[in-house]
Amino acid sequence: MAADICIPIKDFGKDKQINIVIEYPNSEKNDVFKLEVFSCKDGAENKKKAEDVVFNKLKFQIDNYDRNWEVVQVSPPQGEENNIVVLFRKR
Amino acid sequence: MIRTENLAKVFRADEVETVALKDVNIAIEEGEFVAIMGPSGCGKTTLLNILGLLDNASSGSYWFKGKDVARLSDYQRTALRKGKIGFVFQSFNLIDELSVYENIELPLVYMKMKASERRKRVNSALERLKITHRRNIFPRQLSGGQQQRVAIARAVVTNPDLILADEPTGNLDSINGAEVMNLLTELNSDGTTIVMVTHSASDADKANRIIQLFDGHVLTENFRKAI
Ligand SMILES: Nc1ncnc2c1ncn2[C@@H]1O[C@H](COP(=O)(O)OP(=O)(O)OP(=O)(O)O)[C@@H](O)[C@H]1O
Ligand SMILES: [Mg+2]
Repeated sequence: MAADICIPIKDFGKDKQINIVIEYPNSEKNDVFKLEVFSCKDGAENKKKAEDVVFNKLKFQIDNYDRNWEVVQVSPPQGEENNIVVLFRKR
Repeated sequence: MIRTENLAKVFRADEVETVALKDVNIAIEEGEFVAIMGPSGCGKTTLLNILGLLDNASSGSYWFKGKDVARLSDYQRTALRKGKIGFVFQSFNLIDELSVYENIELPLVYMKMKASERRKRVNSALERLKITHRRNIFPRQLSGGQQQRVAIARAVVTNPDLILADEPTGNLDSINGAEVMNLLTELNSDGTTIVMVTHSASDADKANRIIQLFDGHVLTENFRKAI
C-alpha cells in the first residue's frame, strides 16, 4: 500500500534542489523524487493579470523541464518572489 | 465522455471578481480514472461541479456524452445528471435522519423508480459495498470510513456512467482512505469513469491520468498508465 508521508527538510530555499530516493526492500527499482523551487515573480499591478503572469512563468519553466521528470505536486506561490515548490518524480 | 473547450468560470460577489477557471481544455474518455490535483483555491472543486452539471461555466464549451451542456438551465442540468452522475464528497454528505438503506435509496426515489426495482438496486449496492449488515443503522453510528462506504453505495446505486469524487479520503485515516481508494479502483475496473480531486499523491497514483491545475489553468497532464 502506497502512502504519503511528511518528511521535515532543513534549510530548503531558492536555487536549491533536493533529491529524495525511496528504496524498496524487495525491489530493484527505486523511486526518485526531486524538489525544486521556481521563482515566478509577477511584477504586474493588476491582480488578474498578475496571476496569469505567475501561471505563465511556471508553465514555461515546467514545459521546458527535463522530460524524464514528471510533476507530482505543486505548492502555492510563497513570499514576494512568488516561489513555487514543485515535487517531481523520475519517470 | 467529457470534453471542454476554453472553459472559464468567474464568480462575482460584492464587486469582487474571482476567476476560478480559465482556458480549461480537457477531454476524458469513457473508462478513464482521472485525478485532479493542485494547490488550495486553484479551482478543483469548481471544475468538478461544472463537469458534474452542478454548476454552469461562465464561458467556453462543455460536451457531456456528445451533448453540448454549457448553457443549460438548472432544471435541464438536474434532469441530465440524474442517474448518470454519482458524487462522493470529502464530508460524506449523508442525511443523519435517514438509515443507511434510506440514504442509498434516495437517488432512486428522486428518479421516481418503482419500489420493487429500488429494493433490488439498493440491496445489490449494499452487497457490492459489503454493508448489508449495516442497512438499518444511522450515519452517526458509523465511523468515517464506513460512512464513506455508504456514500459510495449511494453514488453507484443508479449505475452512473461517471463518478465525481471531491477529496474522498480527505477526512479519513490512511487505512480507511486506502479502502476507499480500493473501492474506487474496483468501480473503475468495472467500467465506471472516475474523476477525483485529491491532495494525496499516492491516491492520485491510482488514476491513469493526473491533471495538475494552477490558478484556474491546466498546468500539466501526466498519463500514468493505459486504461
Ligand atoms: N461560490 C463562490 N463564490 C465566490 N467565489 C468562489 C465560489 N466558489 C469558489 N470560489 C473561488 O474560486 C476559487 C477556486 O475555488 P475552489 O473551491 O474551486 O478551489 P479548490 O481548488 O477546490 O480548493 P481546495 O483545495 O481548498 O478545496 C477560489 O478563489 C474560491 O475562493
Ligand atoms: Mg475544493
